[in-house]
Amino acid sequence: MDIILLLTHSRDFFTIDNVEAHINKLGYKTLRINTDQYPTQINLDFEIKQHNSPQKTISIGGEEINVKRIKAVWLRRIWSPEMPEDIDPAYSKYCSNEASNNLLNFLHTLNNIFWLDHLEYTNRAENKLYQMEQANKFGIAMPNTLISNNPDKILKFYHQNKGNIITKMQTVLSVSMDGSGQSFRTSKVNAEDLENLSSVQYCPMIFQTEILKKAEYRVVYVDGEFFSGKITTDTLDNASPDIKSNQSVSWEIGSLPQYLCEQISRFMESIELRFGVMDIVETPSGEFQFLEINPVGEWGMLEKELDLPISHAIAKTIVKQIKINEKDTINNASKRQFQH
Amino acid sequence: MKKPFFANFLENQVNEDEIQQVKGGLTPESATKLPDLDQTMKYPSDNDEGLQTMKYPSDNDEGNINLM
Repeated sequence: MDIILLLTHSRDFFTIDNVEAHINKLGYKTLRINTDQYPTQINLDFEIKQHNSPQKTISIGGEEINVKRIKAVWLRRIWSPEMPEDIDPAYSKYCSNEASNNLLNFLHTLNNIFWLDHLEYTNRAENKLYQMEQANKFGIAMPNTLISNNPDKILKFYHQNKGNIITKMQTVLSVSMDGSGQSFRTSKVNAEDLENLSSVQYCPMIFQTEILKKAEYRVVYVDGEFFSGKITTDTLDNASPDIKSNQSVSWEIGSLPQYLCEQISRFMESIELRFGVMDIVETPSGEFQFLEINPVGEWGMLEKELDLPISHAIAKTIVKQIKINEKDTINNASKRQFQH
Repeated sequence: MKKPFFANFLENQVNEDEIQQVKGGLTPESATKLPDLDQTMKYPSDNDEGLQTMKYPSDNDEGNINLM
């Protein structure tokens, strides 16, 4: 039986369970790899003998699977290995790095099958500068942005925007063992903050025009389909520029204007992703401003709170692509036969 | 010691969190251990939206075996 590989981590739940259930209903077996459990509980073997194709196997819980059976991959998360505490610390970090590296290398060899989405494109799209550059090409509106460590340019940007700018960072500050990261919250830049502006030289930051929000949208794109949830100003605290700092929020179904869906579809095609989660703001005057796309962004709350069938769309997309690939393989084989 | 520009904002964020915790009747965490700032509405694991949990900068810098 054909297998769909699900890449996630041991503490994942709900979204992974729902996608898995839908794939099984569609007639495919799933193989869940909790990436943090490699190398301690999972074995990956890659063996080459001269003049033979490589033999690649994955072993989990006593079952050995030939990767030839894997027809598609759902890339949800890749976590660093969780190493046992009783390994000599002098070696533990090195084992972890080597294992992470080998896992990625092994996965990269699964390149003749469908990925939602491929590692390479997912990594590329995590680059905020790249995604803004691409979104801008397709006319997607976004706040004026300056990413810089140059105090003079930042001061100029501050004045150009009449002092209404926010700042944020591109990376989390730290990652703890439970996978949570300590984040820098989006903050408003006030006049008194500028006294220390010269210290921005040591660490670049993102600066953006501050945007007033009527609603903040989380938009999940799955292979041409849009699933949107929004939080409106009833629950949104405009005093805080970071939606994440608002503790109690309630989601409503959101809907984007057609022109924006078309722009996003072209943008997604250009960055070669069939899945992505976007943060988009609607201003009080009804304009939509793109903030960012996260190629592995979270969507469980939308499915849970709003019954949006996102896990089903993910499963459908994967199965549809497997069938397209199978058809292509048969067509190519018959073409070759014909040529002989 | 010099601090980068973002440190000022970060320190304010920590202070706000401590005030919130006091309001809520919780014991504020010590300043040395920064509280988990990113409490959000997402589900299930909103703090973890990156593809890979890797520390920044590259983990590779820390991977040398040092037996000395």
